[in-house]
Amino acid sequence: MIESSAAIPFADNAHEALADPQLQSALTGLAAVSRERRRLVLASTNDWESLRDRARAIKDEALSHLDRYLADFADHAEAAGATVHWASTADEARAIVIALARQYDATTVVKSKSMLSEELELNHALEAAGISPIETDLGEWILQLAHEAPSHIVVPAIHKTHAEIARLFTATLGTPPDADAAMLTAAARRILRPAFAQARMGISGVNFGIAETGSIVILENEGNARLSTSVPRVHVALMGIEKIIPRFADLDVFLKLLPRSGTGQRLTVYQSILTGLATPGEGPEALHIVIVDNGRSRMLAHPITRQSLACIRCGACLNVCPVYQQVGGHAYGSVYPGPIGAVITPQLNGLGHAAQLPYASSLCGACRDVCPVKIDIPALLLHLRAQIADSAATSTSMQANDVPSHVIERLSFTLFRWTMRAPWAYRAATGAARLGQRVARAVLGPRWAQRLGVIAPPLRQWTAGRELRPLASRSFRDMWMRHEVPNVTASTSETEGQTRTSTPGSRS
Amino acid sequence: MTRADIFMANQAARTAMLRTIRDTLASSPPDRHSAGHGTAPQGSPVHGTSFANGGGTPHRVDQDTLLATFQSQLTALGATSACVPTVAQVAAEIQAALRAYHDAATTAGILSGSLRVGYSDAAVVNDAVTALDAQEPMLATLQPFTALSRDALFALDVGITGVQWGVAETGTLVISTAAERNRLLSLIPALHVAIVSRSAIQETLAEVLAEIHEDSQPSSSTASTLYSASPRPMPHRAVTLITGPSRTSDIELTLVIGVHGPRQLHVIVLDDISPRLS
Amino acid sequence: MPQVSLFITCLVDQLWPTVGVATVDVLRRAGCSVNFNPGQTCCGQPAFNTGYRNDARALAERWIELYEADPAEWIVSPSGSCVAMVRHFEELFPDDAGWRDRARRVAQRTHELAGFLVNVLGITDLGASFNGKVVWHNACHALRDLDQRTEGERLLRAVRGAELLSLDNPEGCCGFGGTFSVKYADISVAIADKKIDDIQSVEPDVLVSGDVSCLMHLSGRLARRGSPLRVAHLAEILAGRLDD
Repeated sequence: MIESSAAIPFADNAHEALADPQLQSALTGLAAVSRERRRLVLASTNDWESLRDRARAIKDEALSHLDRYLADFADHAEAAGATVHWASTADEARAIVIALARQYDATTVVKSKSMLSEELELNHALEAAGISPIETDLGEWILQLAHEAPSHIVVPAIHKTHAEIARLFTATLGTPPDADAAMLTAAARRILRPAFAQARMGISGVNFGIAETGSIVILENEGNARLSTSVPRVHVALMGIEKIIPRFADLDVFLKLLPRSGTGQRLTVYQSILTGLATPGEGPEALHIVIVDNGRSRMLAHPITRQSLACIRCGACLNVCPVYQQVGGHAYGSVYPGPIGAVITPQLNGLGHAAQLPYASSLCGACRDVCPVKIDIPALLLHLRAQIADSAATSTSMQANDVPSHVIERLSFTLFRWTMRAPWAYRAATGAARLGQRVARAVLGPRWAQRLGVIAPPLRQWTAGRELRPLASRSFRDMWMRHEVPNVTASTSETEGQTRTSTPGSRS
Repeated sequence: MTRADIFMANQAARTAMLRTIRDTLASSPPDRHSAGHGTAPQGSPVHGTSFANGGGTPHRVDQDTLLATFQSQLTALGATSACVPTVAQVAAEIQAALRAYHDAATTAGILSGSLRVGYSDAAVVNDAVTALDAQEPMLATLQPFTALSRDALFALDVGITGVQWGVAETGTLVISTAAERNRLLSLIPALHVAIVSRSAIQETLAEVLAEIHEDSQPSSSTASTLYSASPRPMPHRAVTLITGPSRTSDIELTLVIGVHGPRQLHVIVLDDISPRLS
Repeated sequence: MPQVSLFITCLVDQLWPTVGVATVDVLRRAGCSVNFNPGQTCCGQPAFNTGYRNDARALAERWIELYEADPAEWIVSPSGSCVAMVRHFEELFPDDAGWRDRARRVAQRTHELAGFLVNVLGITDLGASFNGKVVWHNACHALRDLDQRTEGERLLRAVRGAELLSLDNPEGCCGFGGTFSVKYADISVAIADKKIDDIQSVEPDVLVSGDVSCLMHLSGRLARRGSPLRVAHLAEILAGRLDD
């Protein structure tokens, strides 16, 4: 497992994000718009559930035979005139792209949106090699001008308000300060047009790779992907191994799900289905498809983690997540934020590097509800939490604000288990806690919980924002033992002659 | 490294990556929790059936409803459309559309002077363009795609192309470079004028995709094989689905029509279905 | 007469015993006889959710053994998250088909209160009454893990005199999330604030939920914000025991 350098300080990032009023305003807008879009989609799509089931079945099939389908994809793409490259690691992928740029004398390249290229930090590598990458997706171009990272999979500049973008454009491009969204967009069109015309190479991502035909499919709304992949002499397409779907006919299901899930549209404005090389005189002279692993194959190792690879990058889980809605994408410190990011970043970059992420969730399950391919993200989060708790090498994992370190936490749960093993231990422990509460209240006064928080971080964390409900002076169990709960008899396993009436499938 | 070295290194990389995937899958525990979403085929994948059709018989919509749906979808997308019965009237419709665009764009300050127009090599486009009045003052240039340099292409205001299929339920135009060179003319100029035969309009995208794919199937392929034994490469190498003019919501989720692709889309349906009035 | 063994859950037992009393009342009103098994302790959810599966497994085994031997036909709890945990027990035994079967069997007898009333007994009207405006917070585990999308609402609609108000984001999480509430306390509180703003905008008399963990978290935040808004567990409304 490749452990990247410093651990992502999610808790600190989140803290900053909560105090950022512009970000909060942008996120509130996103949450409301997404909720309304989803309502409309569900109201107008009467086979939504069956589409999800079918999509998941297709992805499961593709992933459980991935080597076969990848081989077929490559063979068919090559038969149609594409050149297919294979990159196990980010280093290899970057080297391939740079070599291609040199081969075709491309000093500038136009890029359409590719999360994979961000993951590979490709722009940085191209620049270091003297090649100038120009982002052409409006959101990505805004971020390139601002020297910022994307904060959302689909709307990468969502963390920026219109006012901030207008200010940025005025400062870097000289547009009028009161420019509205249409004027800002027109400026982008005008300024980027020559880049499309002059760049010798276009780099794109791939939404789906079809094994049966060797086709790559690209969805977009702006037209920049079509321009980047049809005007320059060379088209380089970056594709993660997990993008494979088996048959051409499978595409229809995903075209019904991805636009609706991603942006509430029935279809994005453009889909390009590209199979090898097209007629000469219209389109690139060369198509190079770079198939990238970069840690994905590890996720195939277990059925629970394998489903992470079913993701079609729609961003719906981000939009609906109560945590993402509060802290935005940058807090996750990774190209992939939100619920899906919390599960794939640790798997791609190492548990130690991203140990805070699987805990940054209330496990509400809203992500699982909306995922078009039914990824069970809460189950994945719990799976990763178990791995982190087990792993000795994650002493940095729990350092979120003042939460106890891993060792103390493990001891606490061992204690918890011993307490809960027997009713007498449970009663003794809770009785002691109740006694302690009485003493604390007597000694420390009404603010006893906050004061105790000085030595007990969980209490401090709780009472920082909430009052603490005290333990009741008599538990339910106490009341029952004193016969203060009417009409509740004891049930014991030794009760003679009593049999359960059988319920279907209930027991032997 | 020589070409041969590069090729060998790439083949080695392919072998290694596929082996890693195969080995990882082979040693993974069985999937006990399929959570009730359709079981994936066990063992060999070759007995998968097509997942695309979710069952149910496709209901046939009548031609009038089909056309009406197609046009209303286009309107909802911010495109404009017209249906005409003859090629001569296609030309008249193009003329009208160009005039309207010229006036509107001049008023809006995004066009000064007259229009530079390019057109594709589709037969219907050529027939209609022949009938256009090339002396029309609002036309600066009217050139076929083959005559255009890259600079001239990027200087065009209007691109006129044919369209291979239409999808009524979504207002989508489907073009393929196998039939005509319409990929760049439908993309670069700010106004795209698209001519589609009424008979080419299907109800659903699934139907059109099936036709696109059928063109590469040997006639003996059956539904029970995963794919045909040795498929020919698809004749349709670059298929583009176009649903309305280009758009974005990247700036605070505000919808803006017209980004890098065309700002406007005008669709002319040539009615080759209705009986002609003699 | 259906025989029910009450799975009280540690939070209700220790922090909100009146909810336990109300639950018993409701079950009796629904025609059940209720037992209490004094051997019960905890389902182990905190350990499972924080990643300590060995500890969770030990407690799961204990729970399964206890309730396997319990003669009652049904095991009913006023907590959706604890019942969801019981339904997830089988995941703790990936290599032991025997334990998985046992876990599954006991889980099939285990229900959350609202789900039990509506789906097992077929009852939505318990003859309860409450005069006032009510907001219903459908706790995430009950809503999604147990797929109980409408049961709580249906029970509340049958309460005479209660006016059920609609929220802007009715399925939004309250932000508790178990140890999340202290590991990421600031985010947890921010989520609660969003929820509370939504609730307060409709000016209810009482906030009702089926999980005391949500109630504990939201009432704690409400109190800190100086809000007088009352909170209640569904069982308390249905039993008419609001101000115990």
